[in-house]
Amino acid sequence: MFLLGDVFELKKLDTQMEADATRRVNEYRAALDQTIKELRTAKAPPGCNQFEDWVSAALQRLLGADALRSWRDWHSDAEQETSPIKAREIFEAGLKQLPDSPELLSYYAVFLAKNFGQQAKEAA
Amino acid sequence: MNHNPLQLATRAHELALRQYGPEHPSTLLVARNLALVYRLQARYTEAQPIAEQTLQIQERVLGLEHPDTLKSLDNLASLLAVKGDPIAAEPIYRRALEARERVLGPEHPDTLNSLNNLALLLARKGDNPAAEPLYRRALEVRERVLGPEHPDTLSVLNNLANLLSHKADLPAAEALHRRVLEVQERVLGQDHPNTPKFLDNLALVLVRQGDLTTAESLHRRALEIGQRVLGPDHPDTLKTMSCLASLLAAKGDLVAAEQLYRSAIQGMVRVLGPEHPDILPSLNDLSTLLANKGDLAGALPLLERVLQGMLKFMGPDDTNAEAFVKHLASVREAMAKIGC
Repeated sequence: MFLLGDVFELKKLDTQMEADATRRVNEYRAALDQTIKELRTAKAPPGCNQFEDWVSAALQRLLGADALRSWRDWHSDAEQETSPIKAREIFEAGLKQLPDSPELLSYYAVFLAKNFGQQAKEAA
Repeated sequence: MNHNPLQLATRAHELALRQYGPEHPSTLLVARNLALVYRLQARYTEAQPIAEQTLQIQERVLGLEHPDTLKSLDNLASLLAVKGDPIAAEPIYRRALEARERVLGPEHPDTLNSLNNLALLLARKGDNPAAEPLYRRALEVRERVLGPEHPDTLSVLNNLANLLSHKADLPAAEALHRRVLEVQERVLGQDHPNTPKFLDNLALVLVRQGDLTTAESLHRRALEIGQRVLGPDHPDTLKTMSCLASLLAAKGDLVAAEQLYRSAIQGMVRVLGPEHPDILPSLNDLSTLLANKGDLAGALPLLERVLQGMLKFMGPDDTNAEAFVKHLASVREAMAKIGC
């Protein structure tokens, strides 16, 4: 007699899934522990002078670098870029993060009309 | 991803209305951008009601001196200026500039935009002594704050070069135009919408210095890029066409020049409306060409339209108005003599 799971290696798959989930939970817990530790000791990491910056940096570590960026951050970065190609990439990355931001979408529209003219008009 | 600016701006406005409501500052910002996209695509008739309504709500909701209100005020003046109403635009520009200097400070980018825009309007009116110090102030701050290769710095540098060209300081104008074009092509690329304008401006200075061959190649490049990047009906492309016609006329190719002038004027009338002041230089040039060919019956009605248009946009205090009225009377007299 043999087990169906052995034939299809289901046990191995289960083990792998559990290991992956455990790893993710441990990473999340470590990041959270680090944040809690920083908050308890109330010592801002280097480069974060303001309390808001410090909390924001800690949260960004938890959620990912772009998660807390507002439309203003994306727009400001794009405005400072002199190359239209690079500025366009910044806008598009921002819109991936914030696809329903009316402000970012409208500034992107202005940017395209100013910098790509007819090419942008025809690229619907 | 959709890359059509008008569709994106319209969708942004719909989203803002749904998310924030019609009088929220963010919705008003998005509405102002929608009007700006219409203006950048030379759809002035559609831009104006949105721009006016947005400003009206911002004045009520945000106040007369809120930076967003002032931006909309400046944008409305720019719209009126490109629509061909400099008399209405000037006091609005002055109001925006005065308030921005007071509220935002003299070196704020918005204040410098107002400064540049007002200077451009004054220069177009021929008031170079008033325009030049404004350009120089805007240029000094932008070079220092934004750097010499920033598009806003290039824009004011280009405007100053045009002014120097009108003052007949051609070597200085040429040097500045070359600098603008070199940075433009290197930093923003040859296919940027501003490149044709900068090519034309350099070509115009070269024409005045007698270098027709280089100027012609620059105008032809500008026309090719303009037709491709801005579209054949964009006002800037039509202006390039008219510039090339002038050059061909100067070279003696009157047949090709007349054909190009007529195409450009036809396009401008269609896009800008028959009374837009930007059409007047092309009408004037075509009238001169026809007169040189001995076709007075063709030339005089065009000249009459030019003089009437000039008088309309001069304003009541213009010192040249009296001379223009006299010219107009002479033209009408000549028209009566030849029966047209």
